[in-house]
Amino acid sequence: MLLKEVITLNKKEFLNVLKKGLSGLEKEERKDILLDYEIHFAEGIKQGKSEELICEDLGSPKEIGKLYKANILIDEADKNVSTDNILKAIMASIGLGIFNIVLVLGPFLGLLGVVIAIFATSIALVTSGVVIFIDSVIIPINFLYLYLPKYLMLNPTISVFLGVSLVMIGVLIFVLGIFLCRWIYHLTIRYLKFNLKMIKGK
Amino acid sequence: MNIQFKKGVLELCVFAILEEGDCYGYELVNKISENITISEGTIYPLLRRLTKEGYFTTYLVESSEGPPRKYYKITDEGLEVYKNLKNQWLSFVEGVNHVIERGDNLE
Repeated sequence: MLLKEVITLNKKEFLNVLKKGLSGLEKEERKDILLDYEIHFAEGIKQGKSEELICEDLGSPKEIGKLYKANILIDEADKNVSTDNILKAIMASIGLGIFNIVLVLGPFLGLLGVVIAIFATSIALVTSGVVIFIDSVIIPINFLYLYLPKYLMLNPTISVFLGVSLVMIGVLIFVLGIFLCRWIYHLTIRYLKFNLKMIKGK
Repeated sequence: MNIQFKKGVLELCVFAILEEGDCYGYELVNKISENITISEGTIYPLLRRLTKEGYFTTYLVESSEGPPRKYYKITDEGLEVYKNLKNQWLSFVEGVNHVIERGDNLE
């Protein structure tokens, strides 16, 4: 437990900290969440508990706010697929604890590296395919003569075939990359949800 | 108890309590904190998430004194998930117990 949590709060302070932690969420949702806690306080007081004791049992309002935010942002990223949303969800998950940096950011950066490598490969393949194609069909006297093996240059049919195949393979890898991206996106969300469920107790 | 354990088990506890009957927030929190030491405030985010996922529904009941109570009710989908979670948990506990008891016998 953190040292600063030892300071006892009263109801008003607790709700204020929680409200601040929920900033950025929809107004209705925020009101609804705060109402749950207001009712909790009212019930507790009716049972004869003091505001301070109720606060102590509830735990840190800052942490609770982070939990809601991570929950809601992950949900948002799940419904509306966008880079911005997934980054927000990841940041919120990281905000839940230092431990999460390793668990969340590590695997994500690894996968991101793989995706970038795949797209770079496909772009390189398409580009070289196009150059070879143009070189052998449109400009018969080629400027790449020096860079390509001689047997390719001697037979323009092979050059054309090579160019077209490279473009096709490049496009195929590009499409696979897009599918992989989608898969990683959903995997990331599932992972974040799992992470939220398992990490952090009291 | 190990903190990493608690979070996952908390969900199971909430399901188990609501399977027995509808509960309002404060009542549910108390039923759990009577048995498990936990930051009570983390139960509400869990309830909200599981409600959003369609495992619970809520309804308000006016209370004679104080604010209205928000009751949680488990859905058919929720019951299905609970059955599954419970079985997983039971077989996990059984497995762990086997290992622990074997360890004791060796001593």
